[in-house]
Amino acid sequence: MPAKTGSGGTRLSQGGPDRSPSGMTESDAALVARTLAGDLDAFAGLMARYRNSLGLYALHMLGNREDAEEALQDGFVRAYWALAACREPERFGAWLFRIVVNRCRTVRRRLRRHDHLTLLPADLPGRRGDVSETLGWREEIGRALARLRPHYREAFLLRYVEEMEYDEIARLTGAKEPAVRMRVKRASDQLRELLRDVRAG
Amino acid sequence: MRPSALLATALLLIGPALLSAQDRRLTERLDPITAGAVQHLVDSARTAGLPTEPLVQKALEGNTLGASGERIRTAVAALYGQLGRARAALGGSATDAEVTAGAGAIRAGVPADTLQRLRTLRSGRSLVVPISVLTDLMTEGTPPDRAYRSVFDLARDGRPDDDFLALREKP
Amino acid sequence: MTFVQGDRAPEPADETLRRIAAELRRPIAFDAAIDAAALQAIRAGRRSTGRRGVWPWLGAAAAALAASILLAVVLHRDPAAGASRAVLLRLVAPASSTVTVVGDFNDWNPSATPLAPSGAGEWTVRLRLPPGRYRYTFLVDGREWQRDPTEPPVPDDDYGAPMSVITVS
Repeated sequence: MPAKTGSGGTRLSQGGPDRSPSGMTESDAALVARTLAGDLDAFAGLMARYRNSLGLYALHMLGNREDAEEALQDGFVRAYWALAACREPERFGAWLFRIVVNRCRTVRRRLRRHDHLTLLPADLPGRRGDVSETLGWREEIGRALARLRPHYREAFLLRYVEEMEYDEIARLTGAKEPAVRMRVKRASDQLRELLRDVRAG
Repeated sequence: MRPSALLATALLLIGPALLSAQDRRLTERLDPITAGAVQHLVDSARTAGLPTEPLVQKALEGNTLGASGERIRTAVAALYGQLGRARAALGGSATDAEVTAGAGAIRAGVPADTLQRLRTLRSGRSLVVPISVLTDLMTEGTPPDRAYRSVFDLARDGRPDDDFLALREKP
Repeated sequence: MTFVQGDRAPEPADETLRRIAAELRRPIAFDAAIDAAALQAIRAGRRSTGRRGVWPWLGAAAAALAASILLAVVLHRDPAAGASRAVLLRLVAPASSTVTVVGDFNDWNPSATPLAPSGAGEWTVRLRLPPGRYRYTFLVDGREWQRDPTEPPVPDDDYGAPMSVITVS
């Protein structure tokens, strides 16, 4: 299970070396520098690096894949044009994440029922046991998340899925730390209540 | 498959098609077959990361000049190929304007590796003007080697756009 | 991404929430087409993807916007580029009653950009064009195509009409 690193950042801020499409390992800071020098392939490498993890947050926050993809794509484009303002390129991931969090706040939710049902069984990682049961459990979570107030849902996801510290969440969302703790607690209480009787897969 | 999953699958399959909308200028001014063919090329260009507007402009040019639908389709398809080759020569970082200019150069007979060389000689700045000037020189009948050498020299020396434009002045 | 085993992972206090968090953390694959679409928008100079609202409202307004965005060239590479320049088009046609220009900058629309007589048989129009390369030609009296003699001729092997090209830096 993923755990926080010791540096105090979110798991996303650990933009360590990774394989780029060219096969060379390059840090986020190096890819940012190359992007600023005009190399779009370097930016493509950054996007590939963060697409899934940021998409995951956006998906849970917005409840459906189409909105999540839009928030993600929009976040990428805005990040590109604002890249010169990224003051710590070695923490590009956290900077990009902030942009995507904001995009999720402004993406207008399409009024659809059962939004979370656009998540197909093929999207789920392989799992022992009955796939339909797995889908049911994830559906239930999605339904429950959708019933939370956006601020609560956001705080819960940042705390328990992105594994951020309360002070980081406060900085990211602009709320004060006590308010963040309250939101996480309220979200937890509501989710527990909504899902207590659902049998997990 | 459950009905909801079936619906979701259908949406995932046709969703992307719904998002690439028709360009009204094509349907308003071209016959349906030509409009459809050009729209198809536009959609392919978009997917391939090529500029789409030059394709539309080429079609509208033909429409204004009274060309037949077949002639328009041929011209747009040829331009599509030139855009693709320009993109391959100039690389993924090239802007739409550079790729468009590159297509014109390729059409005028400039080899792809000449464009590549220009890219490396002038990597930090827009190639729109150098490529355009090179195209003009070739079109006017300047011997190709002389045209390339002049443009390469300016690029290597980091000269600004106006110096390239001055190459076209009659001596 | 690699993760280091740490002892500060925030875990919910109870079993239900732990299972919820575990489920929500399961990785999901997103399509690389998202990256490609973002690059497309970037290359076209768009500041946001504008995905929403493209369909079904891509009409004349959005098409015109797309055209003008395309003409707005590279911004990060060359800070001076992207700004429109004033361009004066001239044609000497003393015996004519109307002159318009059609080109890549006006969808080749014969009635969009008329020239005005400026004396001594000369016709002019002032345009603002972003950097780029534009094919164009004049339409004289609504029936005759004439290229711009002040610019290099361009052989139009596509449609066979007299054609000119202008490069805006």
